[in-house]
Amino acid sequence: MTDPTQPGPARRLPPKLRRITDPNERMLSERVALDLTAGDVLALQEVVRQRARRPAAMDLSRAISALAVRDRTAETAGILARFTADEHESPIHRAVAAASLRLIPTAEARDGLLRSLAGAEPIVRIQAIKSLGAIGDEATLTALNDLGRRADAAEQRQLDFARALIAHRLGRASDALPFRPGVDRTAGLEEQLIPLTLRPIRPQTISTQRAQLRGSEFAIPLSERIGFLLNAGRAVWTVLVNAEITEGGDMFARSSRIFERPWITALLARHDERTKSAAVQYVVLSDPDGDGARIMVVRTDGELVYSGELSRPRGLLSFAVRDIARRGTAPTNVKGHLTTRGVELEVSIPFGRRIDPSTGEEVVVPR
Amino acid sequence: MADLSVRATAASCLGVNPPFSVNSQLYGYIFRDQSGSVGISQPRSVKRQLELMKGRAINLCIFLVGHENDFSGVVTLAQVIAVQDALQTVRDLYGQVSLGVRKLFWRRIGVTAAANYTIITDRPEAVDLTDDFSGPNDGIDVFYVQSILNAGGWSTTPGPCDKDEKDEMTGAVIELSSGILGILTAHEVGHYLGLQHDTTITNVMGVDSNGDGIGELNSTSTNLTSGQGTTMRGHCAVRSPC
Repeated sequence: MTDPTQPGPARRLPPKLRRITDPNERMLSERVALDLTAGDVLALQEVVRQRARRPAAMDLSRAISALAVRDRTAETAGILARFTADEHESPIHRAVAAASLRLIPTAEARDGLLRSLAGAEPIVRIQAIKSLGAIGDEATLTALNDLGRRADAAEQRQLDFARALIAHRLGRASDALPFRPGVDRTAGLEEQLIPLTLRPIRPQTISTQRAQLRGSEFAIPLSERIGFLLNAGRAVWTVLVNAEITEGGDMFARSSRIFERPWITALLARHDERTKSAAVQYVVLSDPDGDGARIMVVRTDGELVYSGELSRPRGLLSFAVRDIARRGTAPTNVKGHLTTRGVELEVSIPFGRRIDPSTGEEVVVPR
Repeated sequence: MADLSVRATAASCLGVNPPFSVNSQLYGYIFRDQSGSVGISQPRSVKRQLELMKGRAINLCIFLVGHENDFSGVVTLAQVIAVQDALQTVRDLYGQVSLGVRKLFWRRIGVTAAANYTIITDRPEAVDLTDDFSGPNDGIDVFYVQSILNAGGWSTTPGPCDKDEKDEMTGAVIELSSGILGILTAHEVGHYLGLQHDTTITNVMGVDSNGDGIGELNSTSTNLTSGQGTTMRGHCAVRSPC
């Protein structure tokens, strides 16, 4: 095995990789990464693995993220996992590697991410926990439950969310992310509201939207038959539904599996018109509650933003979603029901302005 | 001819009266490196800055993401010096089309609050960042983070004037690791001001040669056309002459 610290001549990268990793250029995108050749992948693996042979002027973060996008194999997961845990590397680059590993749901990635939690850098640990939530399995959940409380509040929040995500993926009850009821907003002035629509989309459209999806799919199978398009003002999301809920039956029927156990019910992938791509912004978690279910709409950083209920009166699947009055969120109150024919909204009160976003803190220059 | 005295312009455009520091208060460059320099790599003209700030101009609210005032966070002194140099580059580039950068508001997001935002993995995370934080409404928010995977920067076209708007990014998000930080900043703020990608790499708005929506840029991406200037100066974030 090659010693990564052994001095040697710097690796000369192929021309395309030189451009991608040149700090004085900006040309890397997901599509550029996906178009890399097998030879490019080998070169990137070597660059990440062998510190001593890296070209002097290169952006290592780009090499790491391009490698993870292009080559989602156990071998690359192993390389990035070892890199993440290597305290000789820079914390920022290790955090980028930890974040990139959520694209490669393998045992190598999970093991490496868990090892990195013993490290000293909070920026690395937070990204590692975030990735473990996205790709974690039974053993991961056990390991995260055994971690104990974290001193850092942001790290603890991410840990709670990771545990909740994995528990819901496995169908386990979890108190890691407590339910918080939303605020029952009443109607505002017409000029304060933005248009909101939710409509089912055809399998062909779902297929197209999935092809545009970037980033993690949170290790759930996504339905090829049932999905929705959500528009709120200028923002557009595709609602991708967990196929395990819809498989073998009808999501809208009274016997729907959605009420049987906790689920990662759906992913809300936000569209970007310029790049013709989408990435997950919200994860919808559901838990059985009496005859119905509670739902929580959580950002990928673990921030609970909306909550509500699912119920099944008269064979319909009814939903109610409200904001939980957090800073930086627009008041929202939406109720309706899903039928096999579409979505009917009974109440639609989506405000167009966010309430009280933080202004950050003052910069004081040391004397 | 308009009065271009430093004293009069500082008073009328910035509300600053003597004694004041040209670097800190006229330009807004508040950080100095170990040698005492604000780190601007190109020659600059105070007269030119006075002319530009008196005309149609934008204010920028600079958010340092993960910064602690004693530099115990993830943002280094070298990085804030690079940001100042980048902002001077933006001034130089926008100056080509008679658009000034008048005021810089410096804000920070501490390590704990910024925990998930020091590395931006996709556009929705950039949207969340601009949802959670907003500077004064008369400045365009520019967030500097450590790394943005597979993009380098995110913004929206055109950006909203009301930074509490719910449904769009209300600022530009830019990675500090870029070696062309000034061009990248001018590019992303250019999007906010209404510019689309161009057809030549030598333009600040770069070229999207493979149609993936990411504008390719390099150190030659420094030109702006008069038409682009007209678009930028027409954005609602642009302040009237002072």
